[in-house]
Amino acid sequence: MADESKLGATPTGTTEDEASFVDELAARAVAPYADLLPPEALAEMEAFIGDALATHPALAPLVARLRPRPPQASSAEQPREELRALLAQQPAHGGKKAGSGEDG
Amino acid sequence: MRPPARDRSAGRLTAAQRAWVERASYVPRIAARRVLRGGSRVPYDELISIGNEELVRAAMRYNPTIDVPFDGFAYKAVHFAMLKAQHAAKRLQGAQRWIDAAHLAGLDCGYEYLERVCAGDAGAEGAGPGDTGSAEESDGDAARRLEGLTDGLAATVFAGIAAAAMERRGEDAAIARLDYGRAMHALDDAVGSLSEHQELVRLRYFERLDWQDVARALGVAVATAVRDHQGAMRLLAARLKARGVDGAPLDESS
Repeated sequence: MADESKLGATPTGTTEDEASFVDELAARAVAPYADLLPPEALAEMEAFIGDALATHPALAPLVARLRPRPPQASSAEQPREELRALLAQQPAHGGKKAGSGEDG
Repeated sequence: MRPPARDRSAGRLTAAQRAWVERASYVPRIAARRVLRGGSRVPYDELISIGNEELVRAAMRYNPTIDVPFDGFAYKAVHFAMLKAQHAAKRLQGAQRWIDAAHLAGLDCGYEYLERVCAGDAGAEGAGPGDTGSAEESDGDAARRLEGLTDGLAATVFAGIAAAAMERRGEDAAIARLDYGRAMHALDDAVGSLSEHQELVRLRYFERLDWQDVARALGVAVATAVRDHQGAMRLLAARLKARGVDGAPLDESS
């Protein structure tokens, strides 16, 4: 049984950057109608398009694929504390593997 | 209240799909809570039932090679199914103001557009459920496809709202003209500028004919009318986007 608590306040699979990407796409989609419709109608239209982009089985996967992703930190950029923690998890005797080319 | 449907459909699932459904069985509860927080008109138990049905459908569509865990994939589909049920409940309850009815009519058109997209009737630019694009499709092409679908959806909702406002008679017509006059004028202009499928859009939005009658009036198959409608909506979206901000309100005498 999966852990329900892992969802927290954020729906599964919806990251913050994805949510803001959806908002941006929905705002862009309704922009041509901003001077044509009363604010109430425009807001409903924008909310509907945002919901569809975030949840519809045909649109949401495209959104997830295209959302901008923050650049991944390279190993060189990893904070020292995290590196230390990782190293601390390694077994004390590294276990030289046969044929690994490690000569000690 | 509808009986839980998960068991009924579960027989069609493979062992792997059943395992995904089992692991994600909490998803309908999360989605239902979210919908209820937004003020649902659909009772919790019914939302759960809808969610369980959609969970099974999501398992049938899910492609494990995509970089999204099943529960994340399913959550979105389940949430959308609940929102759609919520919209249907609003529809049943009826709107107190004609303006709300016009907005509901616009969203009806939007849901219908999405249903057609989902069914793969959208032609080359359509997207099936769970379709993130083929390996050969570049991000640029996928982005253009998403933009086309989103613009088509926006134009469809807009046309639904504006056409519903156009239908007003008597005292309501004056208010409609005041608040929605620009929209009505822009829609009329944009439809008038379509080089093809103009009649189809008029029959569907201005005459409010269903697809059977639209197809009959045009002498084509229903599937053809529906497919042409998707193309017409993208053209309409392009016209409305190109229009800029010079839409003038309707002349009082018109």
